[in-house]
Amino acid sequence: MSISLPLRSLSNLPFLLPSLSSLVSYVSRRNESSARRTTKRLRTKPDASFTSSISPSQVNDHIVFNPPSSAPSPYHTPPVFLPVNDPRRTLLAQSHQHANSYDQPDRHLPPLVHKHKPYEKKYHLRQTEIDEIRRLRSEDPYKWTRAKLAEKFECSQFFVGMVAEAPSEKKAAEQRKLEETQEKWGRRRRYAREDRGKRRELWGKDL
Amino acid sequence: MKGLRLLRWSGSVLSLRTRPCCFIHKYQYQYPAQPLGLLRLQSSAAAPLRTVSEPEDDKEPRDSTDYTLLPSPPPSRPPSSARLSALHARLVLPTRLPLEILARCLVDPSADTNSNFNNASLSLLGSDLLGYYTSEAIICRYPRLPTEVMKAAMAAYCGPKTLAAITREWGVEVAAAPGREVDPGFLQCIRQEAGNASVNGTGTQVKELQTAADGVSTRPDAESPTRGWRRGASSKTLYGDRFGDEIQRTETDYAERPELRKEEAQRKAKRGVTLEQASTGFVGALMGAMYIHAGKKAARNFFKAHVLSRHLDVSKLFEFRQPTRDLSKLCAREGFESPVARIESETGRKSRTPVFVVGVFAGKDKLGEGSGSSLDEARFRAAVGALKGWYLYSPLEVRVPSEATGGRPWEPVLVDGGEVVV
Repeated sequence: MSISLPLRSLSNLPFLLPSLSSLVSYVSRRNESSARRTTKRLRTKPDASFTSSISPSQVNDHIVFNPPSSAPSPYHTPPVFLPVNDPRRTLLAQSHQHANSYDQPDRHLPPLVHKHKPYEKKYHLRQTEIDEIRRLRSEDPYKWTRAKLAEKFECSQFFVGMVAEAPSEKKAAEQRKLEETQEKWGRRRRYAREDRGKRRELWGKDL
Repeated sequence: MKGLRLLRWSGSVLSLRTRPCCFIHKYQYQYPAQPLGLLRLQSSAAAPLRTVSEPEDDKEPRDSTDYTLLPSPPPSRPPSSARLSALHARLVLPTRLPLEILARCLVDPSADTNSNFNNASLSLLGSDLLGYYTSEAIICRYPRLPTEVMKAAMAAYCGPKTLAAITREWGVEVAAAPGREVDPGFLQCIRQEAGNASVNGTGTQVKELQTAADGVSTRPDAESPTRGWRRGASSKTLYGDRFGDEIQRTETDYAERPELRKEEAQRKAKRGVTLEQASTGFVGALMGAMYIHAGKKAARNFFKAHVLSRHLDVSKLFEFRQPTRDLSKLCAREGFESPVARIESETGRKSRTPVFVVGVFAGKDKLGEGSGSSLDEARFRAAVGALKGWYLYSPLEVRVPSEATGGRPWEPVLVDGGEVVV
């Protein structure tokens, strides 16, 4: 069967469609309505930042600088970090584009990653309380753990670990317990943990 | 700053040295005959050394042009070497730097232990200049760089590996073995035997490479080299060389006992050097020769053209373990508000591939920004970005101390409070 190219569009000749669709491969087949829809969708008004506010006759004299969003370069020192006598400090403050936009009263700072308030240090523990922490820890290290002591004395667990370290036999027992747990891990879990650690190392290298 | 007048005391380097004919007789005692195994068994090889070392040779006057005993090409050879002239032209060296000196730069102490004919003195001066110019360029450009990163950048600009690469890029080839008949355009050195290789001719196996550490260490805890944790940044600064690596002998040792230098050269000649060491010596020697023969300005330009022009992304040299902690310490030290992480934008929080963009803020000022597939990662990366922003500060106008001789008065560069120590 030979097919001559129809002069009229295919939509006007529906009887040709079944035979044509059997010849054309499945991938390249598309119907007119979707093509028209795509073209229409592409015909959008460009973003305001792409069009210049100057008259069309002068368009060729200007450059529209609108780089795609990307990670900031580490070589751009933030204005706070510049030394006091650096001329860039005043230049950046005067600039419209680079001035700190959060300085304006109607502009709010973005939401916090951690919803809780930043930790306030109280510095309320005296020598007597520290001695008490040490006594409790040495009496029964299995009962008075870091978390329990921190809760009782309203300080951080880090501080408890700093003033009263756990005895070495407790550390060894904890280590043994951890190793026993890790023994039970299968191949997949072990590899997943290792990979997570490796990925974490890459964060610090900025890779 | 006042420039040194090198011409006064560098006569031995500036003038060409010649070996008098009578020197050949002394020479036999200074250079003991090599074992037969080390001789090249080719038709072009020099005559065996033992035949000329017989005492009755003294009776008949020897031809002064007989250089069969010389370990490196004689100073009369360079003008006729096309390879050497090509190298001179390729590097656009000034005419004030003669071909003979370029040929001397190519003779490693392992090839010729005579310090009048090898490049040891030139490379000593040149490597110091390389270190000085590189360190001032890095420190003045990035005054807040941590010590470890600074040392890594130094090694990247003028470390042995880089200098070996520079030698290769210049098209300098290494002679298979040094000798008087070798073209002076080759780098002349005795190559070190590779580990697990058989020594030429003897059939013995070298199982392990001798390390350079058979000398005395300058470190106080040299008896415990396994203690890696001892080698902190300050220890490296005190006891290490300019790259933070351990050094065996200091210049003070050499000044106290000058014979040490000769011993070192003889040990090297016995054991040979690696290609990296020979290349390091050559580039340093050429730098020193440029300084002495063409002057400071030419040496600086040479350094800029061949060393400083190499691209190095300093921001890739960092590695942080606890950047959030470091950043809060830094903010406390510098009197900023304590840093707080805030979500700038996010997409697909409940999907398999979310992306979060987190900024670190001190009050209303943004310190850094980072993105990641979890809030923790983004926060970590933002802190890394903020710390890099601090450490990689670079002043607008950089004028290094070596450029400040004469002309405009010297203005001090920024001296920073140092890196964050937790």
